[in-house]
Amino acid sequence: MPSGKMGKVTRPIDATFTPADTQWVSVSPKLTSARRVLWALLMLIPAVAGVALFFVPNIEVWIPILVLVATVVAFGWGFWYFARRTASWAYAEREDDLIVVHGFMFKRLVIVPYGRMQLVDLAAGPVDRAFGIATLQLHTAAATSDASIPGLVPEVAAALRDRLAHLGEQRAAGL
Amino acid sequence: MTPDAPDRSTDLGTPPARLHPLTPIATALPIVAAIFAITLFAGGGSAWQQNVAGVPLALAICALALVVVTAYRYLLWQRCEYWFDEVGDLRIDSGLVYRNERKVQLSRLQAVDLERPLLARIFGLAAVKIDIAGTGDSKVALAYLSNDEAIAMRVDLLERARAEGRAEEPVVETILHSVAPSDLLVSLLLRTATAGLLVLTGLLIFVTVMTSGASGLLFLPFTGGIPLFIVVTEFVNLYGFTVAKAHDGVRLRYGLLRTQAQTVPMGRVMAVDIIEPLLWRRKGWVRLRLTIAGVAGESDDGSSQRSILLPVGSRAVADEILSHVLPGVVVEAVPLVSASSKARWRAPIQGARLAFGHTDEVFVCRRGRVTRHLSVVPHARTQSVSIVQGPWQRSLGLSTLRVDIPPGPIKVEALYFPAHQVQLAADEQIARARASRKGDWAS
Repeated sequence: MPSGKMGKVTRPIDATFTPADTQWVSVSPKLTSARRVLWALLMLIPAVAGVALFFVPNIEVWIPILVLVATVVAFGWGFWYFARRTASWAYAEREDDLIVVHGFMFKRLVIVPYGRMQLVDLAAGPVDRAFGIATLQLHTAAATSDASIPGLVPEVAAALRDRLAHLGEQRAAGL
Repeated sequence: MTPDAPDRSTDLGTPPARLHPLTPIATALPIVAAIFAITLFAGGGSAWQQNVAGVPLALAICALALVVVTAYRYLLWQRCEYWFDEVGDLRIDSGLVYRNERKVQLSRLQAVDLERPLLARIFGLAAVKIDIAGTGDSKVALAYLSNDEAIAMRVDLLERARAEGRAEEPVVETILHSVAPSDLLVSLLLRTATAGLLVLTGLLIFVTVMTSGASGLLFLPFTGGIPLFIVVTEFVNLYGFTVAKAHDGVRLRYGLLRTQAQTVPMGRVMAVDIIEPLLWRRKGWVRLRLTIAGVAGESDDGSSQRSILLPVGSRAVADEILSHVLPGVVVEAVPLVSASSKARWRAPIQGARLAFGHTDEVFVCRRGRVTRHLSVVPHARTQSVSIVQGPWQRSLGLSTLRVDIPPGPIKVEALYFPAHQVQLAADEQIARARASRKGDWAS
């Protein structure tokens, strides 16, 4: 079974933005760790570049220091950002549709009727797999109704996908 | 008289036929023209200007290309045959090295259009473009037939498709509206961005003349050249725009150098946008754009033109055309809810114009002050509903409702409404979309 935090909302979801009477399910906190690892790997590039700059002849010493300070700041911001972002993801299965909400600066809520789902994808990159999470992606005929739920524990994700695919087939409405 | 199913098996076959004999030359000439242009410009055009000895060589290359390409096209023409098989489907066998045998199931026919590029028109030829339902390579072309053959072929295809039960009504077209070239030209010049840039060009020239300094002229290609180029290309593409009512939807014809015909099938219209630029308002003109399923994804050269339902016309004409595309919808009669005064803090210019509303059939939203937009989307076309809110909107307690539709030029967004109102509207819209889908013939 999924970790203990699944099935509970870890932080109150903005009541002025999202329907109140819905059973929200938040995503696994492992998502934060996975994103932080990816972010750390990405930050290695400017870090290495900054260190290498020290050894470049005829260069002002403040340039590599500036690069390293900027890298550290960006690294710290990423740690904070991904925690907030994970906490902002939530989804709810209602009788006729699925609601996905995410974002904390730019909030986004999408309601996808089961009958309009054309495809339900489940994907996991190498880092996600190492942390044991997967991303569920819903496709409709509209490109803008991009609804994805990252940070799902595999069992939950597979069950959700099968449930959605079944409901989608049952209520298929096409275009 | 309608033939019975068993009898049709003997009736419907036809012997294999070839395309028009002028096809090889008509398809080869554009390629040779391109090669001619390349030799003209190769080496900075020196072959044609200074070095006279180069001219015969360039001409020889073109002549050789003409012979080779025409010969190749001739062989292709020889190997290409089309006929109707015993079950009445269109078969096309083609290909020189790789043989391609196509079977076009007429039961899945969507539209048959005629296309006449400039060169083909000189030879009196036309291409028959066949659009069948399905994704990917769903377009088949018979290029070229003579004009009369092409028209007969189109009627034949539609009649055979009708016998298959695709369409119930006879193939008749009634012309709803033709856009006068003068109206088209004036309307293109009066579009907000174009007119603004042209006025700026006038100012630049004036300033240059007054101060006799030439640096202002550097901007002329951008302020004058680009808008004029856009006006000319749009004019050439949309020249002679005709809207006709056919049994299966609305048929559009346009183009000066290359006549295009396009069918807007009634069930495939996802959304319509009624656009009113500032300077068109005195004339009472509007433009209609639409999103059709499957069109935006095509990398067709004319995909931006293919989204135009009416380049310019009076409101009455627009309403008449809309009544054929979205039957039973009166856009003016839709009750609209205006945005609150708070929206003006987010959008000072268009704030007062923002509104949305709905009827039993459609969702409507209005935006834009300088160029007015009124977007209409049938409930049955709603794919999903989104609410978005940025930090600025949140500080004002506002959010934006978006009705997600298949990709195209139209965005259906009710911008900057109080958050609780948007939340309610989103749930209502989803419920309406669900209800409308149940009784929808296209779904």
